[in-house]
Amino acid sequence: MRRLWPFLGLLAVLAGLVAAVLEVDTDARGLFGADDRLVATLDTAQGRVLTLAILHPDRDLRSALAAKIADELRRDPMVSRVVSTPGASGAPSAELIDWLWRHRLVLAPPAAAAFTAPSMAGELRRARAALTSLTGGTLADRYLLDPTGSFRRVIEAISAASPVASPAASPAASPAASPVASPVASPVAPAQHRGIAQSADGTAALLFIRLAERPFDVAAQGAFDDRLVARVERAGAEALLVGPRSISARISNDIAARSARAAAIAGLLLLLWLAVALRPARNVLLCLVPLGIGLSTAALAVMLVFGSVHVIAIGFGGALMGLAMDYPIHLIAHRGRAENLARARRFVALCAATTGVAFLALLGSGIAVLGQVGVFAASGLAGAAACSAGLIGAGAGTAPGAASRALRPIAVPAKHLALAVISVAAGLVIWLAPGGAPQRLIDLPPGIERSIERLGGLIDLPSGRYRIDVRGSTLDAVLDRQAALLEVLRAAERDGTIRRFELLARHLPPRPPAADRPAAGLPDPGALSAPVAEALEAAGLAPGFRAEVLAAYGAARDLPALDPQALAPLAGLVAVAGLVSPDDGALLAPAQLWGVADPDRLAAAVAALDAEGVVFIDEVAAMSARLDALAANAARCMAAGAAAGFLFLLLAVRRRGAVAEIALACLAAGLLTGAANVLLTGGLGVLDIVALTLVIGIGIDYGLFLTLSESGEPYTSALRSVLVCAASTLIAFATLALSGVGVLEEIGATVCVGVVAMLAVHVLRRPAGETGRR
Amino acid sequence: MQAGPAARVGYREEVHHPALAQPEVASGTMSMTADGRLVRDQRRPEREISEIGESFVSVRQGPDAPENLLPVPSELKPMLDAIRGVVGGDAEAIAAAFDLELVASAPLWRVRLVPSDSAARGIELVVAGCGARLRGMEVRQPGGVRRVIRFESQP
Repeated sequence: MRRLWPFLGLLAVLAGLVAAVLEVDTDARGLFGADDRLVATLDTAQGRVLTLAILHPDRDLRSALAAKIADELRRDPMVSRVVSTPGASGAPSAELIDWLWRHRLVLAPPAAAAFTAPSMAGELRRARAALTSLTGGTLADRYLLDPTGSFRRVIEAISAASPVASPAASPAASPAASPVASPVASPVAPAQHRGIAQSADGTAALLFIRLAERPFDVAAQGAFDDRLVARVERAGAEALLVGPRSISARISNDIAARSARAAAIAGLLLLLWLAVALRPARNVLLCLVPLGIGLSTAALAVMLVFGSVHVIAIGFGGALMGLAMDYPIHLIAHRGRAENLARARRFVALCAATTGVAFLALLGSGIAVLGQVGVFAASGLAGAAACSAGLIGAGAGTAPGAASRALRPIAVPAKHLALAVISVAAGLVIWLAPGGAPQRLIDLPPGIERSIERLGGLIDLPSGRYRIDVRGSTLDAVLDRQAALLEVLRAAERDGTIRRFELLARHLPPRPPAADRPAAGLPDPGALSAPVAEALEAAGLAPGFRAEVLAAYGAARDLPALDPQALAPLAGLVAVAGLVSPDDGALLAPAQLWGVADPDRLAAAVAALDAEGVVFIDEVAAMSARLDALAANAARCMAAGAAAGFLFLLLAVRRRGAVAEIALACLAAGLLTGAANVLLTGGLGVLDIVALTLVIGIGIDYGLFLTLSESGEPYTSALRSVLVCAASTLIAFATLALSGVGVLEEIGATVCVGVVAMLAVHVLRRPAGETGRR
Repeated sequence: MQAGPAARVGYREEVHHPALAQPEVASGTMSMTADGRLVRDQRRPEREISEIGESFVSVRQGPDAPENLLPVPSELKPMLDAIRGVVGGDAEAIAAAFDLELVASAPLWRVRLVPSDSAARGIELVVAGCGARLRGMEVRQPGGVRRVIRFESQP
């Protein structure tokens, strides 16, 4: 045990260093990359929306509480905006009216006929009439300045869309009837009490929160959510908090908590098993110290290369580091004789190097977290192997039931042929699998599903799965594309394909078809001088007013195109409704859908439009496709890494036959595990691939010891240590497989199947005559 | 017209705007409901029935037309408050919302109303009458817009 103290000291130093410098990164973009839409969604205006329902039977109490919390939230740096009355009536801000006025020719482009003198005279008469209207009078000054009628049509359209306006309010109504009560209506127009939106069933007060524009962080979001819920509960009410970021944070935290529990149980069982298997019990310490040094080395190496360690790298890398536990077990089993121990050290070194080379291939995946997993596992295994070799010196053999008689390998004739047949068959199963249910990285915990369902009952939430994205570089382009889509959606609404929809274009006047617009674009103000003068005279307006009319028209006509920056005043108002928002340098104005009864039919109708920038989105299918791509990428890296590892092994061992046997056995067992996974779950996901990486590492480990150990005592020691290692791995991963956490169940089951398969293919050896060995 | 609640009076309104060669003319009736809302039933140039409360106004294009409910526009609030107070005969409400100045007394009286709320500065109202009879009012708005309302007794 004298050797133990320096390593314990080293472990203490490394652990101290880790504690001092470790920075854990929880940004979900690590897995999918910053550009991936799955995670980017969390960084859009819609992704930052959070709905808080405060449930209490006393309407006054819950409304007062909601108002108080809204005030508090407005001062919270995590929050950008709190809306307590979306879509509610309220006088539009002067800023918005100005904005609508300036951009009227984009929001409601005039047809060519709108520039004729009779049409303009008609508009001016309507504007005159608006002067005597109680409400329209506030806008009549601008109606008079816009004889094209664009501004009037914008005001009428958004007034007709207002939830407080009567559904029968017709766009053809007099401008006097344009109240501009709610310039941009929310698709959800809840009832209100004391200025606070109430749920449809009258049981909850609602707050619509937009989170500040900062990257999604699980820890920060989780803390914010907990604070908010606790605030509501302290006041004796119940809180229901639903939003993309909130759900993501809750899922992550839920997985973290249950994983910690599963890991603790697995760790305890493993310790008990090792205490029995590696008698005397102090040998357990000889296993734990290399593991601790390996983990510390791994964390420091990742910190050095990447600047921080992603929480996923810690999780996956930690699981892969389970392999490090095998190294001291092998050495302890072989320490009875110096030459056996020397050989075992060489095998451990080879194993760590080969597996490390394979894992480092994950750096080529282009996915930051997988690269971190590669560095974590490679450096950790190297550290653990070096520590094991230095820590465990010659001594009494300690394998359980120390060898009283030498064991011989079980020989299987034509093993290569059998492995080839297994590989081909398993490969075919994987290749030809029809594919099961769409892939999900995680399943929603039942509690979250219930929250979403309850909130759906309180407010009429749009479909979270289906939507139609409409993109364009300017608002003009977006609205033109939406105009085409509008007809498709109205038809879908009529025939029951969808129950209803929301679209920005629905809140704006109908756009004239291209054929009805001025052929050469909007005419020059000079060209309008004569018809405007004629219209003014016909409508009984002062001739001198012509200059003001032409100046106002010219200013609107010559405005720069509406890009994402210029959209800002409108974006603030409609972002909560999700109607339009800047998105990756363009404008995104999705159609939100309710009650999608026939998604395939709707998708076909949208595709038939053949409109640029208009795409039907099925979030589940899209996410599944992204995960498939991620899994394929990870699988390619794993295959390349395994090939590199075996090439390294070949160069190091220089026994082609043995290395080929190990490689073929690992390939067959790996494919067999993959095929079993495909048959049981319908496909290979990214988690299965990561688990298979560990299985391959385990296979190299077992293969080196069982294939390269000579018959007799060396083989007996190798077999015993491999069996102890396999039992340890099975105990740990079977616990994970039964943990109830989807992610861990998947990894645990895959590794268990893989360990058994690897054990089988390596225990069965080729007859001596075929290998040329003794 | 006798100042006091629940009276129904005819009115004629001229809107003078810098853009107009001739003023735009509207006419109709005004009355008060029991709960203090002013009902403005405009017959010409287009039918518009408005019910004006303290904070909200409902607007219809006719008795059977659908109703739009909206907050009272802030720029119109002083004028609407004054009309509600004058037509409803609520002198206390007028005195609370406006600074009053008697600019003529006999035989016709004229009272100038300036909104107490500084946010509504720029609007000026003059109410004119003869004895207990209210004859009309004039509202001067920013931008050179002037509204002249004359009250007539209903036949």
